[in-house]
Amino acid sequence: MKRETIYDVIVLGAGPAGLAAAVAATDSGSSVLVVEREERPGGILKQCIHDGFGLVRYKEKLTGPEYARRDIAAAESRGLYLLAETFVSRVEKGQDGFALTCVNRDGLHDLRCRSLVLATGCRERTDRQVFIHGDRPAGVYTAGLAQAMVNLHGLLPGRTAAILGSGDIGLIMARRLTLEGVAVAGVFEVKAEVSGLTRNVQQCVRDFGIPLGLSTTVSRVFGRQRVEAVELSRVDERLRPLPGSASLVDCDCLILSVGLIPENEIAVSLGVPLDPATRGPQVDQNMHSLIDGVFACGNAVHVNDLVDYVSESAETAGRAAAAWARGLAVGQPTPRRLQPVKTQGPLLYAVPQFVDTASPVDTICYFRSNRTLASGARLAVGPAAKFAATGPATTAENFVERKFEVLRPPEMERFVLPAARSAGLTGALQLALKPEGEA
Amino acid sequence: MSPVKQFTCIVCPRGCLLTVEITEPAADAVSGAPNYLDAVRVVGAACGRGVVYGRQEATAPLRSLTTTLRTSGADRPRLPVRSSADLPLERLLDACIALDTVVAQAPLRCGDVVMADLLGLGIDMLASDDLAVCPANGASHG
Repeated sequence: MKRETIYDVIVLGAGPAGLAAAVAATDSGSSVLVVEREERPGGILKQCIHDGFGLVRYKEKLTGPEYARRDIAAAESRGLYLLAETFVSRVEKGQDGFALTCVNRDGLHDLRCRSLVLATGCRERTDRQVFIHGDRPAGVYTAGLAQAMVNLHGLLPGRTAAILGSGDIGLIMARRLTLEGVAVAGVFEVKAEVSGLTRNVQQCVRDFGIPLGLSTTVSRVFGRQRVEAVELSRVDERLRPLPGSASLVDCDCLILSVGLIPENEIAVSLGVPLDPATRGPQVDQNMHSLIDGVFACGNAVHVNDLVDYVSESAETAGRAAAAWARGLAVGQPTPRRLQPVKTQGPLLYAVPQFVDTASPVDTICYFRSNRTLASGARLAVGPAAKFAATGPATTAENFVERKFEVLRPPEMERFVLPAARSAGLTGALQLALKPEGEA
Repeated sequence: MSPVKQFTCIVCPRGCLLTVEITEPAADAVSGAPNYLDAVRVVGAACGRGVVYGRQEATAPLRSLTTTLRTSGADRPRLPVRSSADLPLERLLDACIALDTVVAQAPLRCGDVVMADLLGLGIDMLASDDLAVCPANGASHG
C-alpha cells in the first residue's frame, strides 16, 4: 500500500454507480481508487439475475450480471485500481481533501484524496422498521436477502412463502421463488396500489397466478422456532388493520419488500446535509453535495427504479469529481453559485436539490409524483419569483415545459434543463407540477 | 365473436396498457387466404414494439427465462444463466425442472452455451456472467 499517494478521486462502492463514476473520472484524467466492501465488484447487480437492465443506456435487455460486466470491463480496460474486501471506517475532511481510514485483511490503511464520491447504494428496510406483531421466529427475510440466498448461494428461504410489500424486489422474488419450486401464497401490499413497476406485476405475479392482495398487511407472525403462519388483515384508508378482517395463511417464510433507504453513514459523519424526502445527500446538478469535494450518485442519493439512471448520475459525479480535484491540485477550486430547487404540486421529490449557476453542466432532473396522476400532468420549470402562488402560467419565461401522459410514484421521470437557460438564475428554481383536469 | 384482452406491455419500463381485439380473419384480397395478422388489433402501445408484443401476447405469450445453475470447480456455487430467446410462458416451470440437474463446469465466459436446445424448443441457455475456476476447489458445490 502506497501510503503517501494522494488520489484525485476515491470512489466508495463498486456497484454500478461506483464503477461508472470511477470510469468517468479516469476518462477525465484523474487518478482513481475504488474501495469496495465485498469480494467482487458489481454491487446488487450480482444477485439481480433477471433481465430488463440497460434498455436506456445500451438499448438492449441485459441481466444484472451482464450489465455489471460491461462496467467491470470498462474499469479493467482502464487499469482501474479496485481495493476489494475493504471497509471504510472513517473519513475526515482537511484543507486539501480527505483522509480515509480503511480496514481489510492486511490491517488498517490511511488513504488520501481530493474528491470523494459516495456510491454506497441503499439498504433494505427490515421487519424492525415495519410494525408487525407476534413471534420472532426464523424465516423472516428481506427480499434482497432472500434473493442473495437463492441466486448467489443456491439456498431456498422456505417451501411456502408469503411476501409483504409490492416493491420491485418483492415482485421479482415472487417469480423467482415460484420458478425454484417454492409455493408463493401471495403478495400483500398495505397501500391501495402496487409499489413496483406495472410490468413486474404482469410478468412476475399475474403470469403465475400468484394472489395479489392490496390494502392488506401482515398483522401478526406465528411460529415458535420457525414461521408457521402469518395473519393477514385488510386495512382502512389510513392503513390501520380493520377489526374482524383477519385471516391466517400457512407459510414457513415471510419475505419483506417494504422499501429501500439510501445508505449514508459516511455522508452523515462528514456533515453532508440530507434531503428528508429522498434520505440521500442534497446535491447540485454535478452530484456535488453541500460539502465541497463530496459527491454522491446512484441509490445513495435517491432510490432509482432503473440502473441506467444510476449510471447516468454516476458519470456526472465522476466527471465533476475529477474537475474539482483538478481545481484543488492547482489551489483554485471552482467556486459554486448554488440556487435551491423548489417543488410545487404533487411532487414526492426532485433531484438535484440545487442548481450551480456557475457550472456549464446541464441539469438532469429526476422526479417522482407523490400519487398516481392517471390523467397526466403538466410540468413547468422556471425562476421561482415568476410563479404565482396558484401555479405556473404558460409563459416564455419558463425554462422547461413538459406534458406527461400518466405519472405514478414508482416510475421516476426525467428532464434536462440546459445550463444556458439556468445560468441567469438569481433566485430559486421552481418545478411546478399541475395535474390535468384539476383546478 | 371478437374477444378483447387487456394487459400491461412488458417490453420496457413504461408499461403501456394494451387492449388487443381479435376478430374473425378476413380473406386476403390477393390470395384469398385468411389474413390472421390484421385480425389482431392492438390499441394503447406507445411504440411499434408494443404492437408486436401485444399480437404475440394475445395469441401465444412468450417470456425470457433467467435462473441459476449449480457449478463445478468454480469460485462460487451458482452461475446465472439466460435463455437465448423467449420461450412459451407455460413451459417456464418445465424448463426450470429440466435445468435443476444441469451443472456448469468452470471456466465459462459470459455468453457461452451451458445447455443446448432446452426442452427441444431450439433455445439455448447461456451463461450471463463469467465463471472463474477456483484453484483450491475441484469439488462440486451443493
